[in-house]
Amino acid sequence: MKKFIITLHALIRKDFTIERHTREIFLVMFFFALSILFILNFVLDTDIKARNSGAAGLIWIISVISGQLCLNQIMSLEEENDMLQSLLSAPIPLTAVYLAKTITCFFGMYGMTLILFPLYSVLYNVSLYSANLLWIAALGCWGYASLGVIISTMTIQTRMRDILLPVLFFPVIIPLIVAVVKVTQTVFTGETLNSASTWISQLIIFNIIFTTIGIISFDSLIKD
Amino acid sequence: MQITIPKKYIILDVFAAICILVSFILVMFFTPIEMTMGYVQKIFYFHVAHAWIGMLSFIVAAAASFMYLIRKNSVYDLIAESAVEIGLYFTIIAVISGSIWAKPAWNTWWTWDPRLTTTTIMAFIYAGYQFLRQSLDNPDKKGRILALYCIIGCISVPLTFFSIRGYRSIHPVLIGNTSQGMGMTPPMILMMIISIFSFTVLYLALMQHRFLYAKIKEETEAEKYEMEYEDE
Repeated sequence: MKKFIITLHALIRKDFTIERHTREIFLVMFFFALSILFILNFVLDTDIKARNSGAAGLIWIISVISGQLCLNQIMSLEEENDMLQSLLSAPIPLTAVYLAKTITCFFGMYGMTLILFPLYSVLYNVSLYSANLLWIAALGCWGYASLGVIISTMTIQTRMRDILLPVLFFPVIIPLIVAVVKVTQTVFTGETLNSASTWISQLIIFNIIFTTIGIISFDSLIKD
Repeated sequence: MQITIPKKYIILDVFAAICILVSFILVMFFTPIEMTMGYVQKIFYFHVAHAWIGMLSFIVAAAASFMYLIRKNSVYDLIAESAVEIGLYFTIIAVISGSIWAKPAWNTWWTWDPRLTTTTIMAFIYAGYQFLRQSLDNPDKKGRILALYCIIGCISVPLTFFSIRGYRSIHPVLIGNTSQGMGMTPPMILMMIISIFSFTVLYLALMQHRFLYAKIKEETEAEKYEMEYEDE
């Protein structure tokens, strides 16, 4: 177990070090999200009602679309200089690779989503502050990352690569998006979280199912 | 390459053709005309049968994919390939025929009903599966990746249905709920059963041909892959 944690830590550190030097993932993802947030202005215009009622959905759609850039890049960087082959031949459990990628992607998504909430509030003059958003965003982002890394691992091995990711990923992520938007909406409208208990359960179930699938199947997905 | 279709396949083909023809004649000339919707209600016998085949086919694909991951036998991969392709076509026809029925019945081509939405999302998932299959080269990896995606898709479909079940629904319920039922008379119910049976026979006939085609294609691709691998 100790060896597993050391490997996991080393892999996460590797991804963060690459990102610190290249700035190819998080910064690009963040500016992409920012661009969409600005484009929304021309759609929402002065419709205050739409800005309020659509906030949860719009923020999560921006996160989902921008997060796709992270998923594309997070596995593709292993393809450079045959790094993937080196990882496969290294005496490490491949589950650690899956968890490391999921954790890195999770931090990228989580950080961006937490910036998006106050940014939307400031730009569209809507009050969206709640401590509950911290764990709701965490659940949403973990589910996104856990399934996203599996699909991304599949697509990097295809000829179509990046183009295929949204086609495969978006239809299967719908249950997570619906649930996380519903819970976020409940928080924004000031209702108690008891009224969203079904959605919260669904979020947790989604996270458990796809993290388990990732842990179990990553070996067979990536090995030659 | 000379491809010969085994003679035993023709028995099921002929039986399927007779079943479909009999169903068509019964639906057109012998089933009662529904009081409010008129002739357009007759689409329903084909629409429900197509939706059933779509669902059945995807379940077969998921079961075959699961078996492939356990046994690593390429036959299961070929069954999944055949089932997904046939299921996708039947699902698309079910959505389109439902839409044609909905226009005169509901006065709209489309409504965000949980069943309609889930069925269409299911079609998107398995259309993605087809793209994924086309885009993979390594035969061994191809089987594993596709099997896993098929299982993920199969898990995601009921989750999607449960996540949108609260949305307003005007879709008729055929089984279980009488308040939203279509008020089908016994001859209509009998016809529905005959129609579903006929299309299931047609599905089996299509599956045997699609499986044969998949088998031949796999052999050809394996040879091609080996030749390319040797060249490298």
